[in-house]
Amino acid sequence: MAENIVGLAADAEVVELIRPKSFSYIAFHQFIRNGRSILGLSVLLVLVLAAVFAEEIAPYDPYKTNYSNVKQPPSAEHFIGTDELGRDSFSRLIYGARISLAIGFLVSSISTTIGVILGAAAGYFGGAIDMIIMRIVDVMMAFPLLVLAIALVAVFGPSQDNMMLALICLIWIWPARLVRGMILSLRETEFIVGAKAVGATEITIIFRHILPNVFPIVVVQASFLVAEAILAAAALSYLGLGAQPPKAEWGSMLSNAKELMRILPVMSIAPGVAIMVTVLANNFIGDALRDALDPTLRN
Amino acid sequence: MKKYIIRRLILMIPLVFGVTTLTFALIHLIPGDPVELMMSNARQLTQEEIERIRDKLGLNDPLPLQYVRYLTNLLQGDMGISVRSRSPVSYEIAQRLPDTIILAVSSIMLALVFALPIGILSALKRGTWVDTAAMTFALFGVSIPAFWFGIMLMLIFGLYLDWLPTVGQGKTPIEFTRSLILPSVTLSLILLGLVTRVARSSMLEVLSLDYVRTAHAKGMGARRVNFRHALPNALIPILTIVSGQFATLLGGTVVIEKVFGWPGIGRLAVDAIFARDYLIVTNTVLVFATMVILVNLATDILYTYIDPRIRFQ
Repeated sequence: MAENIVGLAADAEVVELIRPKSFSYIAFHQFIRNGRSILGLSVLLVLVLAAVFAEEIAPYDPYKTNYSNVKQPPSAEHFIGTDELGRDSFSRLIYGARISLAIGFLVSSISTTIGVILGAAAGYFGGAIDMIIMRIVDVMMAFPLLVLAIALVAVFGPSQDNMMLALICLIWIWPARLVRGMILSLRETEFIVGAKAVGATEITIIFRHILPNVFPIVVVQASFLVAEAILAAAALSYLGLGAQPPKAEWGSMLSNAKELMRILPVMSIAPGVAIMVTVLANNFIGDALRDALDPTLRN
Repeated sequence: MKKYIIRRLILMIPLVFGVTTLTFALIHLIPGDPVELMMSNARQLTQEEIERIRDKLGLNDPLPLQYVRYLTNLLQGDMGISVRSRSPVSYEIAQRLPDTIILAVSSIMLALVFALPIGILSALKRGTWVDTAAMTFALFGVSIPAFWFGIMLMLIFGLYLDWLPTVGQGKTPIEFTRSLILPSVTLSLILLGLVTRVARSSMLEVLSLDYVRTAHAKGMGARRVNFRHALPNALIPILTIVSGQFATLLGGTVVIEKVFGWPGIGRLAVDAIFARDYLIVTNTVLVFATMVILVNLATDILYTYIDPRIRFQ
């Protein structure tokens, strides 16, 4: 039995019921209740497992050529056939998950980190820093992402690492814009003005009041950027500007499959389905995270 | 309103300056000596000869001077000479630009024709299976890689059904239109999902406004309320999205033109990278950015005509 402030006896269960739920508690439960998030998470989990244990799962070596077994249609030994060098397409597909997921998560997390730092600096300090960063962002917004990406690949040279570098150079502007805008509007809100009025230090305001409000929205955007980066990387690799053959990457597998479209359409279908499933899973998770974490959408 | 347009034009000056600076920087950052690239097919040049050509081309001048010359040349339409074809870069681009514009405009049209009715219907039937189906459609629209969607269309309508040509561009008007169908449908996918979502949410927002409720309350027919009163206001945010996504759409042309062998400037740029024809690459990038800036400017000006709230600010 516990005594509450009104002096009434209440058992633990009632105390539990009337205690206000924390933000993260509600967010977590909302996220778990959402059927799509569970579906997205399960699919992503399968993909991550496939990527991590590619060596164990893949029935064949994805780079082993076999000239006596080329251009085979799907069969029990080769689920989706073999390519023009006799490599098992299914094994290549599994190894492709490793590359696409790595690109998606690395590009998204690094560009989000850079974007948050620069966007926060612009929004918080204002003045010349804000001017310079936002002018750069404005200029970059005028260029189509893929167009500037191919120009940067021309500067760095076509390779998978350079493509990722190019994407990071271009994608950071989205989180930067988001964070700057949020900080500018948060600074004007009553609770920050109030915190300042009662003498809270700059550090307290940044870490205690601003960051917790910015963080969830940034996470939501980062989850969508994973999908964005995977799509852009696949397109660039398809053009031959990203992962280079013989790398088992989905985009470059699609470009490789073009020659065999007539006799082996499955080679053109499977990698695209893999990209689509990965991106869908990420978008499911992103949508569910947004519903759970964005308090302005919560009723 | 004139003041608004003038202010908008003045705001463009630093942007144009920034964009040209970036392309100028790209020209200098791309590895490889321009003289050696230019002369790669000719006989081996001595160091002295290379220096003389560098001097003549002004490559030994200080960078600010080179930048000013770059801008003056640009203003006169001089973008340099293509290494591969030996013809002016501006000519190469001008020849292919209309094809890219036709492709982009027809895919915007297609996206609007499909996405607007679906999005609006989904808002009017909120919470029903129609809504769910429309939103699932939109989700797939943003998750399918556009170039792969193109490959699938090629496989189905080109190879299996043999209805439409899969690569290249037809010469006669009818053949041209037929060859435009698959690339533009593919490219429209980039906008399709997003426009559907925005059409739905913007329509829902307008439907919840007081004036719509008033219209219902005074006994006006639902169809008239929805389509004569609500719809025009719901279309404004859609214009913002389409103009904002114009850059993404142009980025898509780079890949889609390559998939379908469409002879636009996107394919020109990609092919130029492999031919190390870098002046083509940087100038195509500049032309893409110019198109984005002009479309955004045109949208902003268009607003002042269609939305009185902006006009009287």
